Amino acid sequence: MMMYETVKAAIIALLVSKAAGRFRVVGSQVMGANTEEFIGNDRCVRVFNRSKQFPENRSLNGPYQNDVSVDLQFITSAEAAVNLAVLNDPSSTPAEIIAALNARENASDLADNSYDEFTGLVFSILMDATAQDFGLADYTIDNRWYTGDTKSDTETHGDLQVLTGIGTLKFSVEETVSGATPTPVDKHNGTIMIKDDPNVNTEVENNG
Amino acid sequence: MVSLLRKRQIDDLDRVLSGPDWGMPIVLISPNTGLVQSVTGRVDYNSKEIDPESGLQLTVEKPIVTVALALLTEVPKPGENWAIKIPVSPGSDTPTETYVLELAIENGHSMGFIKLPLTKAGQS
Repeated sequence: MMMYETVKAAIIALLVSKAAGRFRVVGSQVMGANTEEFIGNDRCVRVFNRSKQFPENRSLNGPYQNDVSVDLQFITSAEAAVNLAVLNDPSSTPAEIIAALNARENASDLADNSYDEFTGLVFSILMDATAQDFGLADYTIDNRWYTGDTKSDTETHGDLQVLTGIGTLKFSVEETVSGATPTPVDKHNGTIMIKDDPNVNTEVENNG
Repeated sequence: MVSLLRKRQIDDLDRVLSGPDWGMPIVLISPNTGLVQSVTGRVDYNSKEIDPESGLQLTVEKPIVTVALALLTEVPKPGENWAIKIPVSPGSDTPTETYVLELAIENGHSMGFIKLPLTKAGQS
């Protein structure tokens, strides 16, 4: 397993350990879900590696620097909030009913507030000073940075208000490749006669 | 003055919405007067797949209530905080699920009905 895969698992484990029932974490793209699954503290962040880049460093055998970009996909939905106890009580007076209805909290406001709180929680967990290596050994992670997230427009297609968003977490790790040991270059033990060396490209190996 | 043809269409639609084929018990609660209106109308329990900007495939529930205007003493207007109760499923007789009006009302005054897309409500 390459190091960036290990780091992704560590990020998920870190978020799960710090979620404290305030949100859920999944590690792959969910294909198909009902918006009712993301109400309140069932809001969900999906974590998956988006890209990796290996800057050229001319290293022959590694380790190789891997600049990784991880996507954090946020999903939250909300229902409106109203005093159902009053509405469902046959003995409620008209004045109580009117007060309950006009004190209603809109689903769109609740969804927006939920999303803002959610992304703030995740940012705080990932960028905490103690999470510099996402729970892995010291100095495993370099250049850790949460670049931000973009919120979608509230979807008003159904009986819930849905908000989604994409956040990006970037970091660098070292990748080592385990393969066959390179064959050493054969040495020539005899005498080499060099006729000319105008650019001084040769030298004698110092075995001392 | 309503033309004869239009009146006939309104009456026919009223029978469709309130009749035994489609009619279901619906309760509308007014935020202006506290009036509780129990009527018979049509409830569609649809769901729809949405594909927001993030590319997710999400399914949303899309309950819609259609009620004949002739049955209503007080008619919901845009922006008002009505509560609507409907049966939990097409096979149920009692309206027990409470929704609110947060989405835009579809006005069918020309044909004598009003269409109410519902937003789910939880206890505050």
